[in-house]
Amino acid sequence: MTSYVLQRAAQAVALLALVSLVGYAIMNLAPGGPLAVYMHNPQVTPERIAILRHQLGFDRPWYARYVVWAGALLRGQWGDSYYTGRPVLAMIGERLPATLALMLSAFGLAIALAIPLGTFAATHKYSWGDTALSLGSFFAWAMPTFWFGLMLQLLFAVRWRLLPVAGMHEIGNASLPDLVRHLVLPALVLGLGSIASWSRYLRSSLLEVLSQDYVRTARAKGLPETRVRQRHMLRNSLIPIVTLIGLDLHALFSGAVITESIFGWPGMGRLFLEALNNRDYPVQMAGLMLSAALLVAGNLMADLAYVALDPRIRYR
Amino acid sequence: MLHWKVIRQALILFAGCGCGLLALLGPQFAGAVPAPGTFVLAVSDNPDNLNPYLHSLLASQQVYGFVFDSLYRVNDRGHWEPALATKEEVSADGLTWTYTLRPGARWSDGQPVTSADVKYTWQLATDKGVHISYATGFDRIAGVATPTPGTVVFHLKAPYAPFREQVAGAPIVPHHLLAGLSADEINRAAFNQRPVGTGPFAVSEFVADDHVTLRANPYYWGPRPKLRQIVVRIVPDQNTQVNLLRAGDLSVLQGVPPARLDEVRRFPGVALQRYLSSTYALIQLDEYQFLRDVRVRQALDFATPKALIIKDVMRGQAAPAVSDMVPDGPWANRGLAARPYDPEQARGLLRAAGFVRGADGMFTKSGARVEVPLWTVSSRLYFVQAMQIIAQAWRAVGVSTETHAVSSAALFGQNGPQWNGKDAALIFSWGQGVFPENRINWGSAYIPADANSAGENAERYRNPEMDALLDQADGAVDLARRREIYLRIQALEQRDVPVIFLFWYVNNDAVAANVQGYAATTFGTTPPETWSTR
Repeated sequence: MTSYVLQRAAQAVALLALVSLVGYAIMNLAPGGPLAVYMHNPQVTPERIAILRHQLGFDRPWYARYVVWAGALLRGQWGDSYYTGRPVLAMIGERLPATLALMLSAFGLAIALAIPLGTFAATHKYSWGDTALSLGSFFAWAMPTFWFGLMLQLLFAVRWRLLPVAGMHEIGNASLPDLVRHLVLPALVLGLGSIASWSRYLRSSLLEVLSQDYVRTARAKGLPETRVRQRHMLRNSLIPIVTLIGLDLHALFSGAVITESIFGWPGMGRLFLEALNNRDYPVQMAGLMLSAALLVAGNLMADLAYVALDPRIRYR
Repeated sequence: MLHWKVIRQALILFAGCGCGLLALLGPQFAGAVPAPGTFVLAVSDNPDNLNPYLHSLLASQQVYGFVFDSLYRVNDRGHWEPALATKEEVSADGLTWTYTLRPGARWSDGQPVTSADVKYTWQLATDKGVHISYATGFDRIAGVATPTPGTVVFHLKAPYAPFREQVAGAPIVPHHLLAGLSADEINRAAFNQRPVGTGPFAVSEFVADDHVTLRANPYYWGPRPKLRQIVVRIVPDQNTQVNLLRAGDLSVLQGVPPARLDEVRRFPGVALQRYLSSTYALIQLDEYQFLRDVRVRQALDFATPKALIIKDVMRGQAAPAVSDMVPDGPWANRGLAARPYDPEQARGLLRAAGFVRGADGMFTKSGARVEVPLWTVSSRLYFVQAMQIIAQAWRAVGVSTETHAVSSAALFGQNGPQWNGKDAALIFSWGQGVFPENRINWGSAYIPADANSAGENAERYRNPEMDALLDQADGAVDLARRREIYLRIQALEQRDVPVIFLFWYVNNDAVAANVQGYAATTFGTTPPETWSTR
């Protein structure tokens, strides 16, 4: 097991190095660039653009800049934003609490609802409840996030005035109830897609497990139905869900651009989108590396969770 | 327990908790309607840098505009008025500009404003180690003298007419906080997020991607602000901004999206203020082949149904454009008239230029068709719609054209149509502002070689007469003479058609009923110290 983890970690390092190289090359070779924001601004003179190009190192080839960037990263320096001049890590750090609050709420909501809904749908196959849940899931899946978010805003915030339209806090009110009020709509919008997809995966996984020999055996030997479902069915059917959660882990930190934009949530999704629009390479690269690292880590954790869920799985 | 009854109970409990939460929060939620003395507005981007010389985004300017002052400023009627300076004297040769500073003016930290601050601003703006973005005109200064703490004298290298708007109208930054920092430290200074200025408000809180709170500056030299605070909310989605307005959370929504205008007009307790923007839409005519002939460019101007675009595409939220000077400003040449939509005149000009109309109705010359592809940015729906109207009109006249809607990066990037050596017409907008300098647009020295080189004359317009006028305008310190030169520059723009001026944008600000003293014009708003909320 230990050697397996070490082997995967070594693979991850090589993969991340490759991701950084390819990502850096694509960003730098794409049309435009960090100075494009000034190019069509009548107040910024050509002479000033030339000075900025030199200051930011754009008079050197991209691979030379990559070597400098990668060397600094190995020393723990993520660089400074081209626009704010602030350390990238500080910019990420100040958005981390908002990102975690939103993502964990959405994650918690999704897990809390997807497992009972998926189980209900599987154990009541083709009932009206299953049909209603299927329709609801497909609707939730197909619905554009921005539309759903705006509709919720219109109903709950504008029409009924039960919840705030946007933001994380009212100005001058940093209390927990105020945070919860602001969290409700974005967490619901963000969690809904996961609820829909996870409950569908769980349903089909449970249906597959239902016909397995070991379930029939468990019932034949007289185990109570609840024990059969809990120990033999649900546990074995969780593997696809664990895979999905592992793959979604990176989203916990990289944020949700559309939901954050609609609800004015100060999370990392907006930071990375702004960096993308402004071609703020240091911030862009930090977002890419963070997301890639968490994706790799999420996959590894999912693989390790399989062992806990299914004793038949062994890594060497 | 996974028995279905238990699951059902769990779901009912969950739903109950949700309803309970809403019931609990609902009565407590009194909404975020601004309290009296608080003024809330929204910007779309996170202000990147609140140091006026280091920022790159409009959102930053919208925030630091409350914080900093210049020596002189333009008021909402377009007139210059004293700000940190009370008197301006210009020498007869235009080389020396002397300002008397306002006695008793202080920074928001209580320190006095002196001539050292003004001199330091020049030093900062010309520091090649600092990531300066906006510092036009400071390089024309040979030296700054500070004979007394209340007097500052600029000595210029050569007469420079735009000095007032570029330097006297530029924000003054504090010497006592920044002079001791190296260039690198200035690039990263905490000052860039929490600046200290002399304006009516001072930043008290900046939560990235959420809001900036500005409190009234107790040391402000002008009338004491009527507001206690201004909150600038950072909300990227325009629909959400409209929802905030509708919920009563905003005092003002600047620039209501045209698509939501009719809806906003019906919001109770909200009034719309309409004014002309200082941004115009244009068709840039890249002069490579046939477009080098002025008659072809004039023909395309006649063939462009500008009034129809204003009416049908912009739904009246635009004004006709004749030149690059904002029509209600002091520099506009009111003697010029836009070419009307006249297909016959367009065809006549093409025939005069030696083109022959073929059996298919398209003009050719020496066997080659007049082909002018139209390009625009796909993210602006109204440009895409205008492009279709223009293409149809040009084809009707006999000019072959294909339409392309692409991303900004593709349009202006290295592989874009501007650099492929063929005639092309690009539809986009240009934020000219209210000042007349347009050298980088029309000067032949500002023709860029590629997408990464500087200069905005990508249409490749060359005219020695225009170059000479631009040089003269730069040196014409006398206002009347300067205006005369810009009138001639506009006449040349109209005659030579380096670009086709489509329209000036119209802005609409939505203002809540409890707001008093706020008014917006092409030139800016009424001073924020005069705004109030009931």
